[in-house]
Amino acid sequence: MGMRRRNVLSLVVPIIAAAVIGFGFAIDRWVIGSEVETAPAPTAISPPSPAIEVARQPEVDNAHFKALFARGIASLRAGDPGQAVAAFESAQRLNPKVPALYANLGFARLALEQIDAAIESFESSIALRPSQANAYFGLAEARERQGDWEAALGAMRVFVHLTPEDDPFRRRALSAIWEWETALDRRPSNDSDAAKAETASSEQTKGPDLLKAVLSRLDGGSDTLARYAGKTVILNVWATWCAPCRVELPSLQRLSEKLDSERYAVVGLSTDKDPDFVREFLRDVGVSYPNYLDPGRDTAYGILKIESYPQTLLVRPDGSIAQRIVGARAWDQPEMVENIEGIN
Amino acid sequence: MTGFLDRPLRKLASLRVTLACIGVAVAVALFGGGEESWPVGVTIAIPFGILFFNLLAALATSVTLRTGPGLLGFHLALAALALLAAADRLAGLSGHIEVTEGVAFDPSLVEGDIGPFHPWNLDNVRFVQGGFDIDYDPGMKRRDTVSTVYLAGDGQASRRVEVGDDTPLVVGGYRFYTTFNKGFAPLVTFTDGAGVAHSGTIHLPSYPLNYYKQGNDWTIPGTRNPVKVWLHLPDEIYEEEAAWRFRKPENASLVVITEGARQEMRPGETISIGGGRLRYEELRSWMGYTISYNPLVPWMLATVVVAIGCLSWHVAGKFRATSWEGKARARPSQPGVDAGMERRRVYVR
Repeated sequence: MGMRRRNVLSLVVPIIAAAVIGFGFAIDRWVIGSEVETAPAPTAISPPSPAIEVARQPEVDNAHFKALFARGIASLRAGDPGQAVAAFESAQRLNPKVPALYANLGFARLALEQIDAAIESFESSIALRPSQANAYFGLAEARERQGDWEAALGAMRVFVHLTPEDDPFRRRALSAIWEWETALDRRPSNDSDAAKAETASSEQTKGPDLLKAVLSRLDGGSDTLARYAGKTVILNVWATWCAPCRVELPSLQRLSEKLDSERYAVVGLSTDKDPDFVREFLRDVGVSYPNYLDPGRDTAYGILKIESYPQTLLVRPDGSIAQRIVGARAWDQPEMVENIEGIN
Repeated sequence: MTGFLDRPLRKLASLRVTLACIGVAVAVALFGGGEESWPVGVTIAIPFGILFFNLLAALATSVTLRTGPGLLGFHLALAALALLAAADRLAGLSGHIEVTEGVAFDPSLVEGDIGPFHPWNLDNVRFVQGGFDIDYDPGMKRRDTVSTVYLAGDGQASRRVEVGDDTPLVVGGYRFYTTFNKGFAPLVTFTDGAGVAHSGTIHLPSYPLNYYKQGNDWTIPGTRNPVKVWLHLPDEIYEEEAAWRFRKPENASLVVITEGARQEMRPGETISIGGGRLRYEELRSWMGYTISYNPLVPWMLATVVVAIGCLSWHVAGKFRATSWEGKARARPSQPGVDAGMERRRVYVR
């Protein structure tokens, strides 16, 4: 019996091997096809444009880059951030467009307590890829060490927004958000009051708080809503990446042209990061009413309690919030204008 | 099987190990790939490698699996499939690249998951990106993409090839497919103070996906001066509710912003910037490709065919060996008799 089994084995193994190799070659040759046959047949002979070499990108040694990157990661894991920074910076010189590289460089710099440099790295990572979740986590940690809890809160909220429920760092992020909100005195004293306080918060945002909210101008300066004291303000919070926000912008522009500028002001607050790009975008879509920037979302989240986009606050002349309108609207329609004119 | 290897082999042959390996491989395939620093190829090769040894251990320890050539062949084919899958991922490449119109493919710009044993042959892939046509149905539904590339020939002439989402360019074992990712790329020339000219393209975000954000950061060559560029599109290129064809805008201008100063340029115009002169040559387009290199896929398919064949043989053998006459006799002859009880009685006898 044992002899028979051995015979079966010695027979089956070469048959299987031969079948796999034979079928494999057949599939490669006739099903998948050779390169010449798979690629569409040439339809014409044409020399490439003479300018083809003009715009060639600088050469990058990919294998070298990967080796340096891997060395940086290994050093970081081994608790040697100095070595990691050196490796990442060398890799960066070879290929400066890898978001993960900047994020890891940021963590290495953070470990060396080079906070400003770490922030720069995390922001570079985010600029290259706005969905680079770990860069937001690192940025939040760096901002916390600077004592800038508002900015830390904003970055950590984005991290939570970008990461799946089961992400191992999500729990840490939520704890940090809780801790920072408590430190900033944003969290209600006990859970039973939480829902009530959350609901009431928008209506309790009184004039003085809102009027003190600092707004960054697109040209780099800063302003406060106090500039519009005495006017009913239609404060639209938006972002270029938010499609419904983009849809309602032309109607807000028409509204601003329709309303009496002595009594009303349409004001935009974008949570985008780059003022130059926001300015160019607004120029392209023909928006000329005042717009401000809140890249850290400090004002939008912290003071205005914005949780979704677009959101428009109708602010009374004394600075208190009369209405909070969530979602896009046709702002120049008669009923909307009538609603605004009814606020005093 | 006896001896000191018996116990560890039996543990390795466990069905739990098989299921765990399959579970891990599926999880990595589904959720991996988001992080560039995470080598998905290697990660997925590990469960496949363990699965290979798990199946070999099962064959070594289970007499049942070796009794018939069909079942034995099936398990050998499964083991071969696991080994081939692991090897394919270790030698494979799954990447992406953006190639500018009129510019040669640059393998050093390929990003993605590259197996540690990948035989880097991309340097031998030479083609120049031509233009491309993409038609959209009303409602921004993208139809076929036809991207023209020029393969470098032996001499001066090049061969024109059309590539699409389902029509790959296959060169050196690499398969290039077009993607939804494409956009505009202004070609600029910066001439520094010493009179040295540097030309290059600046890729803008994918269009029309990011139509609202046609800007990018750029560093003037040889300096650390950051510059922002923005493509100003005065006219609509498309209407969402109408059919349209992707095209380069005819009257777009390039906005260059440096230290708050804004300058707008038309093709052929030059401005002073960063101690030199910047000329906006023309607007080009870029096409995004996915690149895959899976050298063992034909043999993996062949192994699947062999595995199915062996399993069929095994099942057919079992079918032939079953005494259907005896079973028919065992069926209840009287209406109303519980069939299960009847079978049980037959079994007891």
